[in-house]
Amino acid sequence: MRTVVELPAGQAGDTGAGPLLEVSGLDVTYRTARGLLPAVRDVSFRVERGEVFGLVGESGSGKSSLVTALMRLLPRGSEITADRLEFDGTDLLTMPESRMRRLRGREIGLVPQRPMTSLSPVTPVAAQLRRLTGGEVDDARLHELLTDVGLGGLKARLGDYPFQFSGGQLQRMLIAVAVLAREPSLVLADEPTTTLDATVQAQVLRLLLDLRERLGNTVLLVTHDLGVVAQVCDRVGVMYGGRLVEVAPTRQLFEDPQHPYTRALLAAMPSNQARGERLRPIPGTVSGAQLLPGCPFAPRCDRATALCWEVDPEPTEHAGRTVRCHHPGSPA
Amino acid sequence: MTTTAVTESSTETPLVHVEGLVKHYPMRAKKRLGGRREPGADAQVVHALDGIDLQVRQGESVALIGESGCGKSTVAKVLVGLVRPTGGRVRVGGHDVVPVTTHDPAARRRVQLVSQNPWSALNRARSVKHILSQPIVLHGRASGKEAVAQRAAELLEMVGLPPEYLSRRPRDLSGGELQRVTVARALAAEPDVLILDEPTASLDVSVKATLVNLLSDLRAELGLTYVLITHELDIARHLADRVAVMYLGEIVESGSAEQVFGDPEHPYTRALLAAAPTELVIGRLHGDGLTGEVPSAIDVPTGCRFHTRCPMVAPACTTETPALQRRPDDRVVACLRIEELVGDNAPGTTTGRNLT
Repeated sequence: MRTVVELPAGQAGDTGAGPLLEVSGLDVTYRTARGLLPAVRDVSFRVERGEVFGLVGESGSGKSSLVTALMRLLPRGSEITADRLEFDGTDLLTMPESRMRRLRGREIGLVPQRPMTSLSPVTPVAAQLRRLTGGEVDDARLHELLTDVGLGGLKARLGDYPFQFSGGQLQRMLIAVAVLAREPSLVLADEPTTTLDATVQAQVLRLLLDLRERLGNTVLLVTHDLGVVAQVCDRVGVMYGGRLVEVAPTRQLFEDPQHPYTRALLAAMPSNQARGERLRPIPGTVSGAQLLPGCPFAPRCDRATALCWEVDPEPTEHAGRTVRCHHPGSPA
Repeated sequence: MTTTAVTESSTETPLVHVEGLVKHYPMRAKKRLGGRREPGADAQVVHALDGIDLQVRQGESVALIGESGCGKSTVAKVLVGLVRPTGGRVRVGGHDVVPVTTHDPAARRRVQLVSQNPWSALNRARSVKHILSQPIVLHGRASGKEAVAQRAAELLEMVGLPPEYLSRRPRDLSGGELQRVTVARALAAEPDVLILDEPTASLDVSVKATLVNLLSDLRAELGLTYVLITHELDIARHLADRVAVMYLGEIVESGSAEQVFGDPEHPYTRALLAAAPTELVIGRLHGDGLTGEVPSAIDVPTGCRFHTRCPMVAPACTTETPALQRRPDDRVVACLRIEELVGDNAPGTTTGRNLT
């Protein structure tokens, strides 16, 4: 198999200059009954053309808000501000909604978290899949697309309803129409394998990577699953309390984490402890982290000083990656 | 599956004794418009469990692992009396498990359930105090307002939560805290056996570790016996002494955690471990080796149920049903080709694609 990891930026599927996605100083704020809730705070990162960029974080870290903001699908009452939010050199913030609507699906494809609930339960899958391609395909083309993702055997069943298929089959169908049919340059995969069984997970990840190789698209993979990130991503951004705390090439991140949260998170993984040894949870709770004036991880951090509580650290280059910490570094 | 399956070697009477457990769910006959039943349609059954034998000794922790639809959660439901088995026998401490519809709390007290999703397992309208007091009173573990409240506070302390939490409601608690309350509620009955049904599946990594540590501490302190139902292999690796691997309503391999995780023998166990390794893999996909998905439990494959996906399938596998047989190291495996497959020259079952 061709080597695909650590491609020089801008090699695969390169059509233009610069990164495919450039985010700088992004804030997402929700207006709630109890006041303003900052979900994403001052997030900056770039997704290079042709790479698989992973966005990883636990619940409440802001990763879903970030991705929803990129698609401009946040609920009413929420606010997005950014110094820069550019897709393929075009400003997403000022783009008229009509243009944005054309962009979704066509240039930015979405692979959802729960294939079962993202489809209507009362409409046959064939009709839904056709609609998802913008009505651009006929039955023959649809069958071709499904054959391409290994579902050729389902031809006779396309009039069936979603509940008559397994989660893995539905996810492949959705990938066929979101990625293969429309060939978007950016594929947003939001927890694409979370609800799938282990042996099916591997099949779906393989499909996403194979299509990336064939079509040269770029993948932004959002997940809480560090195991998935380690397998498929070229680079990873770690989110905590609405901030992007560390961005690094995958191997560097896992082998030598620099941010104390990344370190603690990896140490807490059951796979990182031998059988019979105690696991190492992160003390404290994530609750309220977005509201802190200083570093969101300060209350749980073993390196926190007075400075961390007061001043939110700026992203800095450290040991070949971007880290947002006053005291970055490898474990002592 | 054979009903004369090999029993686990043991010198003492097991605390949990499951023998030839069968659970079939009859399919409701499809109705045509007008309410007529289609002829013959009601003959179909879902084979949730087909002859499960399981023995758990006092103080032991046994994990049932497998993918969705393998029947592991049905075992949990039978063990706590939520589901009446179609056949076979389930005994705990020498007594048959009684259905929860039987008004005999004393018979049910010894086995308690910690369920998967704490958000739906706890009554959102009531305080933690109320949630914990109910089983204390029901099972007669304390009486009188003060004694019950004190016992509830003790239970909270056992799961590492401060007594202030008694007055809180589920919505004020985080997912990890809620799951600790469900553990405390199960402990309120002072059971011998805890059935842990995917206890950590809905929790974040940093919180998961807390719960795993808590569960191993409680087991040591209280001498509890665990039946752990999970698809998270690394959780089973940390919490279980013995592991039974299930596929389509049957146990295909069962042995010590070291045997099953360290040196799996059944082709399905190997594929499962390759797809969900218990160590971190960087830069390449986990081997899947398997094509397709778990077949329907209505229309189970003939012969070995795994033969439709097995990379090692031989003609005999499609017709002949393998029985669980004891291996030299005392584990049991149900595979016709096990002698050929295990050994120095045995072919690997899975390959991971190398991306680096």
